[in-house]
Amino acid sequence: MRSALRGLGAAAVAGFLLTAFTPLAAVLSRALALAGPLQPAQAIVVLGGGGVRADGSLTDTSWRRTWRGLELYRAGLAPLLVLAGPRTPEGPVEAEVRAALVGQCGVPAEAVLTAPQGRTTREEAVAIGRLLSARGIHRIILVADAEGMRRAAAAFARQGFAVVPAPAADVPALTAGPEERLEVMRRVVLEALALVYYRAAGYL
Amino acid sequence: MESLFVLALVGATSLLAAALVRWVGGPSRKRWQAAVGRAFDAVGLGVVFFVANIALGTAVVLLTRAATGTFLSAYLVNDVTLAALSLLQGLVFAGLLAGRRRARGPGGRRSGRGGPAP
Repeated sequence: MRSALRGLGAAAVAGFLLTAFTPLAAVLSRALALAGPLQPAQAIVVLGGGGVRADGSLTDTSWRRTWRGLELYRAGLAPLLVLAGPRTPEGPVEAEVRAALVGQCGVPAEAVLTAPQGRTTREEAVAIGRLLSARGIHRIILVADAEGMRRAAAAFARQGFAVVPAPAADVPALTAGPEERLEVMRRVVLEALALVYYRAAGYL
Repeated sequence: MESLFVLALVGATSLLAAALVRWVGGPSRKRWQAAVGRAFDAVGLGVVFFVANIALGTAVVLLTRAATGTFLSAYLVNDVTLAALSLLQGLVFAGLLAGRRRARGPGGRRSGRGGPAP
């Protein structure tokens, strides 16, 4: 048992050093990411991203994804911007805070749809699936983090959507130093586990 | 550049500490190896605690969702403090195990409370 623990410890230290001081995390992140050429669609769907802070501001992830959605809308890739995000324990609804933000950036209210029902990627896919199917929308541009795109795109494809992935990627910026590489690896491991869970649960 | 700087810092303080230990009559090569081995033991036990903490946390989240309908986010276990606390658990329990081994002596028999066997 002692030698097994020692081997595990040595492997963990080696893994830590490889992650922090080599491009391993970025390589694995790229392997998980799903990207293709951007094409026009009927709607841009921006997944929830950690909600709203107690002071009413969006989390960094939520803000980054919203901004990516806004960029795509302004590029004329779709006429409708669907902003997801549930009510947070503090009160504000992430989707509504995002809608207010894009409204201030000049997106007309009739081009924005909020989807506050989903608390997980699967719940978002189901809720937005109902919302958009009723409008005859079947082709979407999906905005999520790079590492989570494979799982999110599969969850939306399961709801009958043709998905154009548009990752709100910050991986290149995150791979500058050891701390950032560890953060990327944390996301990669988390996403790999989530992918396994979604497959086992039959969500994909 | 940042990576090299961090590695250089850690390398410099490690070399300095090793030189200081040697200057005050430092341990033999064998004891250095044993110290590194004990550090790996502690880290290995920390990894075991980390996996156990994540498994238990995920089970609690999923069971709570299924049993009560209350939504708990799986991201509750995605907290960097869990890794740090797991490592601390590993250090404490590795220390306890090492103390138990020392008390039992090299042959695995008990040698009393720290003193030599009669």
